[in-house]
Amino acid sequence: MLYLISIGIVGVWVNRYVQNVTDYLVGGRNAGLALNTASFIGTELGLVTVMYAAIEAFSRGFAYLMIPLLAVIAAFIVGQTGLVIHRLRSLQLLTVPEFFEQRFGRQVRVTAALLMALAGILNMGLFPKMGATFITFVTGMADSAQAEWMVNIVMTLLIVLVLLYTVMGGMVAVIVTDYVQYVVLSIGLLLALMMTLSAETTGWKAMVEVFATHKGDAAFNPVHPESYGWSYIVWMFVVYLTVNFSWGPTATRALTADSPDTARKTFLLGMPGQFVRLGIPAFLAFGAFAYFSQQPEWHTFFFPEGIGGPSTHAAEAMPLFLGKLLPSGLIGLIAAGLIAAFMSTHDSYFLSWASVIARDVVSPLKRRPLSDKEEINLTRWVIVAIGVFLLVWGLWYQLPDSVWTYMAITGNIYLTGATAALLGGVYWPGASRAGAMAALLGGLVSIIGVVPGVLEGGISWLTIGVLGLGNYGLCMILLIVFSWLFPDKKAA
Amino acid sequence: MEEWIQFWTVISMLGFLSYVVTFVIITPLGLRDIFAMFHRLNDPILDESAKRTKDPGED
Repeated sequence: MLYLISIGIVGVWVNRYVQNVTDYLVGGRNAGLALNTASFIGTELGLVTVMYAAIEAFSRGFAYLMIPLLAVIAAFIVGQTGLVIHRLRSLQLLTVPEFFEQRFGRQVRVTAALLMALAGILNMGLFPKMGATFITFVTGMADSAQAEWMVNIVMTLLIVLVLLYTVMGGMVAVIVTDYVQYVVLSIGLLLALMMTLSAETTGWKAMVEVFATHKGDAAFNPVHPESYGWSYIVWMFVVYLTVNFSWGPTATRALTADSPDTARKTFLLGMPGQFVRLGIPAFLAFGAFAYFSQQPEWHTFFFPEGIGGPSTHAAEAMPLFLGKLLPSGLIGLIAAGLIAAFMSTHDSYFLSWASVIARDVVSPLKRRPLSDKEEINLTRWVIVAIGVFLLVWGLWYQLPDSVWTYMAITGNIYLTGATAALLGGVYWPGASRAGAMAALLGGLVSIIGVVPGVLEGGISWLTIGVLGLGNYGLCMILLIVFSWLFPDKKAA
Repeated sequence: MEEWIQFWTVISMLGFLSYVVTFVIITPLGLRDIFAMFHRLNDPILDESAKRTKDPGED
């Protein structure tokens, strides 16, 4: 509680440093390399990340570790080459869609911003419920008869708190609180990992043995026919690569850096963070798998078809395991760290989507440019509106089984088209306004995956991977074909 | 399967060790960056205050 109050005070206190819209949206572009990297990892190390990583690892075994490895490789490529981000930071932009106006005109900017906000808010729709579910289960509140009410109360309180300090302090508050959250969560999760690995029943040897015995080669080999397969892995690599320069909250870390070089190095220094944010929850889930496989009373709950069969209730496994493994003092630290993780993702996402709506949709459509004060106030109101939407969404929406795939597909709605338009805009002089617009709209194909029932219809990993990659390919083709058919006047 | 187990063992050790090293480096430097950021954000205010408090005949 003390920690939560302190975080709220930080937001109000740093408001005194916010002088203009540049301070509010990108912290005045004043973040040095170490702070920018800590903030980058803090944003990425969200409670939702912890949850979906644990769900995947519990169901897939060690083969899941291919995903953190892909994230590291993607960060290395972007950090080494400065792919797109170097250019974005050099242009001193406040949001990614501003690039589209500079390169392709206002209509493309507004379209990109609308798609980014649509994909981002849909993507974020699951966050509060998942976060509150975790906190409720890890602290033992799920044992009470009022568990569902508790989830809703926890969710409401956390959203209100995040709204308070994000609305007041903007990006300066986000960067400072991200730093605090990075420190608290790193210590808490590393301690939990050490305790899991040092326990005899859930240590490294036990984890490996239980997966090898019950799941065989598929638990270790990600290209095994019963595991992810090549198409899904290639799609995941492309997703992680493009998220770095297209996705608002991630790309914003390039814009907050104090120089283009710092922006590039942030991704290099953030590489271990990319592995750990997806890897620690995985090892905690491996520990949960080893633990519950030795507890026959839990078999019908988690392994109704036997330990080697498909797992159920994977979302509850890791928090339940932590609640049983850790002493109460460490539970408190982990809970504080994970609440921190919940907030560090939400504040960045709130600010990112709100600034996109205010700056890239509303502002360009007005006849006169907004003053700094008007723009900051508009951004604050949009943040509140998104918060209200998430509360309403979270209260009635039920978590799907395939959370990670849902998130990847909602992200695809914007990422596929934006990636084509950004790559074309930065590296291909022949890319035209029509080509960029066609590519952006081509991303809407992925919205099919969000239709209720599609993900639950027994669709295979191979099909999901091919469809995800296919949408990237489609958007690139649309960019090229429409740019050739309808070149810009200047280019012609 | 044995090769994959060895592969994930090495990758995991490298990943976690590099994170610990990064954490030890970033944490103190990040704190320094926070104060540097506040100092830079505060500069315009300091400048304005200096102008307001300066005696007109001082220069």
